Amino acid sequence: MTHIDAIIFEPVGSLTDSLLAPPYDDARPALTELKALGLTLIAASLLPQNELTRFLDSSGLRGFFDGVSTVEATRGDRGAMLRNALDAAQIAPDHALFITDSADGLAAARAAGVHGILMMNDPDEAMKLTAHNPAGGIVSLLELPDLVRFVSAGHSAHFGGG
Amino acid sequence: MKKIAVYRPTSTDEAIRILSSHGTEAAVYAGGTDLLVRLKNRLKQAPAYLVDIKKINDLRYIREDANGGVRIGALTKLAEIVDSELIAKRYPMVSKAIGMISSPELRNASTLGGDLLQEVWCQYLRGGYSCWRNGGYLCYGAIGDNSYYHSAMGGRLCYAVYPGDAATALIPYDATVKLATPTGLQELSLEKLVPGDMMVDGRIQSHVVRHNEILTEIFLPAPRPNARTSFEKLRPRGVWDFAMAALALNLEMRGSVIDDARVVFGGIAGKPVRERAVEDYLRGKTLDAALIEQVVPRALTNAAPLKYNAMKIEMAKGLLASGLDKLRT
Repeated sequence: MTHIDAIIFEPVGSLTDSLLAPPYDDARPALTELKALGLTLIAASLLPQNELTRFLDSSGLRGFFDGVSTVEATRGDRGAMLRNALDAAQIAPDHALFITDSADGLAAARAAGVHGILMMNDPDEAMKLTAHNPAGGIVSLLELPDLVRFVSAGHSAHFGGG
Repeated sequence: MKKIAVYRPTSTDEAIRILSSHGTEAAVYAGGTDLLVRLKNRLKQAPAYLVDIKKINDLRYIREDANGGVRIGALTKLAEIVDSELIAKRYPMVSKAIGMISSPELRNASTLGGDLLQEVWCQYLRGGYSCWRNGGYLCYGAIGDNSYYHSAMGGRLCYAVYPGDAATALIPYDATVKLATPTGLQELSLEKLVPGDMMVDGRIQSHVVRHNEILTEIFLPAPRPNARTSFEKLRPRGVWDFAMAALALNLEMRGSVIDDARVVFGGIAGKPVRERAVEDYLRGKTLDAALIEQVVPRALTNAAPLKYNAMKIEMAKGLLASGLDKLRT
């Protein structure tokens, strides 16, 4: 059985279509519920830190996040970016989810020992990405609280339960 | 099929004791038209212990209540409900809806309790895919072929539709149910029995019944005076299939004015959808063509169709228009 303590979001793809666009409608209510569950929330991105910070500030989502991590400090190594973020928050990788909508993101999660959760924005693309063995998949961020509860109940084999 | 053990208790107390001792590894076995198929399909989520409750004598009946209502035992066969003159006279919509479930052979085997609590019929779950309901990690229906058996009203991890027609037709009569639990009998509305995908005992299911509880009775209050009802169901084939969209209407009329309304859609979401916004709008208004035109756009405004099933919402709205039109006369 796995206990989830933290969720790392790759903003583009999980919180918004682009850093210039507003966040998805379900982002704020989902983040609110996840904070209420006591989870540590981290934003991690391939984009420069100032762009990521600007998005979080302008979208009003900054207050939800306990940490921000980018690849600048890790010379493009996304796995290291995730590990650094978790080290800073003192959370074991196995107790964290990484929300991503790409094969590279899932690979980074695997490299960091984090559970990669596929954001299934595009159904056809998502079906292809199931071949990359995500630990889970969601259609809406609002499903994340249920996912965390489900995993904690130990009923998904991909998280060491079932 | 995986190896299973079968118990045959003769009382609900004994059945509950057995269910409690095996946790989520055990399940109630009644008509078997859903459970045995899951076992045959080797689903991971299928139980290892079956508690056959068919030997429990006092769960199969249709009885008139002193106040004009009707009590139906959970083990009553669907065919017995369809054949009941009492049900046909008092609750014609229930007769019609249950008469449209599956085939005559299966209605002879299926019980009302089993129909209400059946597992979803998503082709991915039934095909053994590793989905949320089957020990897995994502909903294939949400990203694959979702044209028939998946929700057009959003989902919570699982996007399969609640498949039962009986609940859709019973909720507009304000039906209630009784559950036998380890701590005694519990009564709740049928609407609360099937609230849609939720986690119970660590599993995703459409109903609230825990692993050691047994649905024992369905109660239909006396029908309202001057009620007009209508049940319609659209399905891929004319017979033997689940609803792509269904609608049950129960209008309490005073002449041509609607005093009260119940509007419940089936086949479009993870639960029967009671459309309270439409009910509120109809209340106190004259049932005429103008009202139908006004109310249909107010239905299902929170729809969230998947890639291939937006037509379910159009079908459901079409049923609302035709159902109300039918009840005008």
